[in-house]
Amino acid sequence: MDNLYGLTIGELGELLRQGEIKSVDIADSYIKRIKEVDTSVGAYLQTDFEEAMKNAENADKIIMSGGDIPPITGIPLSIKDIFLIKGKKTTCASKILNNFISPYDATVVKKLKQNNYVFLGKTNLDEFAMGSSTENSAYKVTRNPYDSKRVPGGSSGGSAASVSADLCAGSFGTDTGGSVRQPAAFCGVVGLKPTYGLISRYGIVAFSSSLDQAGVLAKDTTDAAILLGAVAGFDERDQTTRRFEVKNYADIVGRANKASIKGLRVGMPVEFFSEGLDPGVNSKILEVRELLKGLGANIVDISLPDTKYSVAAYYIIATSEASSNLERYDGIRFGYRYKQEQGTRGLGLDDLYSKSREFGFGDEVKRRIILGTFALSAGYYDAYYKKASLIRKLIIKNYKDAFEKADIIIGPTSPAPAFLIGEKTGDPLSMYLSDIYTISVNLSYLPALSMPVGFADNPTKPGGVLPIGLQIISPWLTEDRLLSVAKIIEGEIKFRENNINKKDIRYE
Amino acid sequence: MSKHITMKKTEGGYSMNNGNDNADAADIIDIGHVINLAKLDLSRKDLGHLGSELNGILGYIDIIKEADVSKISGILDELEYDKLVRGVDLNDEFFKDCRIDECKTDDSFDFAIVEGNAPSLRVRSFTDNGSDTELRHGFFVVPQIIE
Repeated sequence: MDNLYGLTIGELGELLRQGEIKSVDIADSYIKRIKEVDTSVGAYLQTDFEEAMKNAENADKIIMSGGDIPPITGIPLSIKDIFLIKGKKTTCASKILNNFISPYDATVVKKLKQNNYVFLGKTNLDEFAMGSSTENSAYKVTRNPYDSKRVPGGSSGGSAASVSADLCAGSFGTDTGGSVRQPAAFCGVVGLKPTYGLISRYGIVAFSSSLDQAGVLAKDTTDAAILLGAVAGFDERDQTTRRFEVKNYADIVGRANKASIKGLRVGMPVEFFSEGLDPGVNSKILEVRELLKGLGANIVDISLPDTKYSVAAYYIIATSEASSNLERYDGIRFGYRYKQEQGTRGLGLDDLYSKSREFGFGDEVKRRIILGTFALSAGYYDAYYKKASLIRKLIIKNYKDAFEKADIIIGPTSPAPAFLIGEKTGDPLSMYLSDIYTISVNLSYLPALSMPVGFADNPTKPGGVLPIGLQIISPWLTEDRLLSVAKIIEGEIKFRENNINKKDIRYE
Repeated sequence: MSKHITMKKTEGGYSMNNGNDNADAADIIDIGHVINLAKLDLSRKDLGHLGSELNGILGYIDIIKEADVSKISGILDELEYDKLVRGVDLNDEFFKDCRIDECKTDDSFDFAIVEGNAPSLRVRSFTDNGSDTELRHGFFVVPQIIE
């Protein structure tokens, strides 16, 4: 069968279970596709095709033996290069981890292996997941599959691009301030960040521990549900996971029915539709509002008044935690160590630390370490870190109040579609503000997803288009509701069906 | 009022707020001190660039001063998080989820890889197979710093 790479996990799984195709056929299709296309896209930092074929052969044996086959068995996936996979490099797209080999598996990876997935490779990201465009990678540029001159978003830009360009069937990323949802919006795929504590962070390199959460990037909402179900759950190795009920998200989404929208209270935060929102994005989100209204939803205006502080509070909390988490890169036990050409004698201990960090870290990482160190330093802690943490509770209260009036909240994922490569690199603040709608969700531990709902005209490429993402936010631990509503919207908009020949992937 | 990052060029290069400025002390951030705390070495870098970027970011972040948090009682703790996420007060549930504070080994953990990750003592070429000892008797070897 041709072009298996274009199918969803759900579609591939059905063909696999019916015996129509084999996992090795799927793996082969993706390997060919990666060889053909990834030189243009630049989604992967490393691939292992030998292992992919081995995984696929193994999966085929398991499928042949029959029994209950998990939905991701034999499915080729990519993983952001911030998850540890035993025996493989984990670079976090940083020079400081250039030669770091993972000594163990992240819990997410362990679960994928137990499900007999097929590993294709590890994807590019902003260094240590700090960024919104994947331009902060020390290794390579990843391009948006809809316009090679534009960014894929970030920090999980490699993952989003790999799904969008059909270089894998699905991908795992991390979302600290929007790093799954924003690139999903930019690349026209589904990106889900679940409730904080639902997926284990064990073996994911830490950036900001109270905000980091693993997320999934998928071709549609069914696939997002399948991927979430495969990795969610309590892990005794991560103290922040809980014994939350892991629902059968794929089953629930499969049963999603338009009739359930009738009477659903859909909240629209006035703060998300103010200045700075691109008119093209605005009009698409309003179309979704009309669509939901047409299905019988009650649209309610809500207010999240304190989200105006969210970007500021986030950049204090996230950088404070980062400055602490990144202390471990000291050039002593692992990672890059500074060496003088004529040997290291004469170099003081402080010099060894600071020069290793100076050469090992990129500019944005250093900027954030300095900002976080400052926010935690004597004399400034109360005014910055503590104040930001109190504001975090204000924002949580805003959402609690909003969910009294609304069952779900909708709005844009990002203020504008994908921007040009280089457009924001000289202005860190404008880069930070591109996450203005996603950040408050992380501060509040909430689940949210981004799904493609249409296109804007590409202002720099005549005839070209750029995807627009709708963000849906739902109350804590209601990923089932979130995915079901998304599935219904998806069925009405038919983004994938209307998405033929819109991409701009040059073939070598 | 926004914080200013001031710089002074001295003989040794750039020095940030060396204390001789007459500006209001509360308005000055000693970036040199912060860089030192962060164990970074920015002596070679264009500090002016960093200064103006941080100035812009801190200027924006100052918006948090407006926020009224007088009704907020302390930073969110784990029990509050559980109450928030589950919607019910479940102290027992919370403690059930807490692991016992004891060391556990991860069977999959490979110490040979950990040893192999130790940084090299000398500049390595690509053909060097790491024959230099980075780890001796289970300890990481670091450059000699005392003559």
